[in-house]
Amino acid sequence: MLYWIYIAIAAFISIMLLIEMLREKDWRTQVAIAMILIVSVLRVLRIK
Amino acid sequence: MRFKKNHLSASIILLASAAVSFLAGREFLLMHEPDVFYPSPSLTREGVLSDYFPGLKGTPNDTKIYFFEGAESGPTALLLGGTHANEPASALAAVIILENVAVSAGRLIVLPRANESGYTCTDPMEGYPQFFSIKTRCGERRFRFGSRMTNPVHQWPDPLVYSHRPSGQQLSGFETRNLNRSYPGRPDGSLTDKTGYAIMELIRVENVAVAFDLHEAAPEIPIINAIVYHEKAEEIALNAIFELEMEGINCSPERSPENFHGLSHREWGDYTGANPFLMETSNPIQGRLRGKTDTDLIVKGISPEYLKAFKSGALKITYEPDGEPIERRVARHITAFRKVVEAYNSLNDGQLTLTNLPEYPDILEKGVGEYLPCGRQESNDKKQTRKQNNTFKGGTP
Repeated sequence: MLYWIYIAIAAFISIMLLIEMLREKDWRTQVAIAMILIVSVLRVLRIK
Repeated sequence: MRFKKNHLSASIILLASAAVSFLAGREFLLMHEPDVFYPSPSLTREGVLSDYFPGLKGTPNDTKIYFFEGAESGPTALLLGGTHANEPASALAAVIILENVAVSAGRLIVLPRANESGYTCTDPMEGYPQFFSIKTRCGERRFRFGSRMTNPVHQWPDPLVYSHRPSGQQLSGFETRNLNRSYPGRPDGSLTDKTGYAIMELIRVENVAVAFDLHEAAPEIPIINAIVYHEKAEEIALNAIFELEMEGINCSPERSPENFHGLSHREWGDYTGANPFLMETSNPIQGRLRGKTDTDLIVKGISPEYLKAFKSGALKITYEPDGEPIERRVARHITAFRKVVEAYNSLNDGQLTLTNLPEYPDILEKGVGEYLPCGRQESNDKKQTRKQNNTFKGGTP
């Protein structure tokens, strides 16, 4: 059960990161967000 | 919402991220493909770990079990490779035994991938390669190099502190994914706990008399080139070590500490009738002092950094000046396994007779690849030859 709660948290973080990326005006900060997004998406997909 | 300039840059970066995720994901998923083994013609049946604990069915650790049963009855031995997937000589020794052994009396059970989940990832922050190759007579054969722990994709999150049950011993949280801290395991615990429990059930149900857990460790760890044994198996271990030393193979006896819980050499002995043994060889790629971390370090085991540390004398380092090649590490495991079986036979009623295992000097001279069959075809050819030989021996013209 705890496993799926953590997967849900990672999915929530991924969505928030995506929204934040679209709001962000500086492309360098967008790149920084993308680097975190890749990791959390791979965990949500249960790849890494 | 209007499309703004920053949306364009976000879209480009998102597309680039998707490409990186796809490429990286594809690399990671390659490790989920199971290794293919070619069991020797002595194989009598195959099973899976969930045969002993149905709670493992459908999980990544429902690993394969290979049974080799002799024509004559005798004791049962269990051999585990791949408890820690970043200790390649242990798994490779189990594979070579699996693909070559002939059993004439007694029974041998082999689990070449005790923690299959550990083979689906590498340890974070270590820069380990995902695969390594061994040269065989018919080309390169690739093996996975995995993690010491169960993959967090399969067991997540880790607790802050791992409380081992039933002892109450407390370890760092990540040790909850360490199969060799999980015994005797729990049917209602984590994936690693369930795996430990299933292996204990296998030992009990199959009435295993002598059980082996093959390992490797960093050269600076004190327990290297050693056999760790439960106190009830002391006589067997000391006899085997004496025989190894007589053949010029140095090996230390290490009695299992009674208050260190969760390990195979302690819990298998306490909770089952088996005589447990854990064997260690020196593996530079696991060490903190290693330099360049690549497949050469796995296979050749040459580390200038460890040589320097060894020569300095500042630390007790188990490292030979010519390196720690996988041939020598595998040869040690196979020879020690054979010597323990022989010692068991000499001290007990009933015989476990294993043949066709490569000798220590032969592995050093010819390499481990010589003892890895080229594929199913060769394995079937061997089976056919054996069938013909058996028919001939039976008196049929």
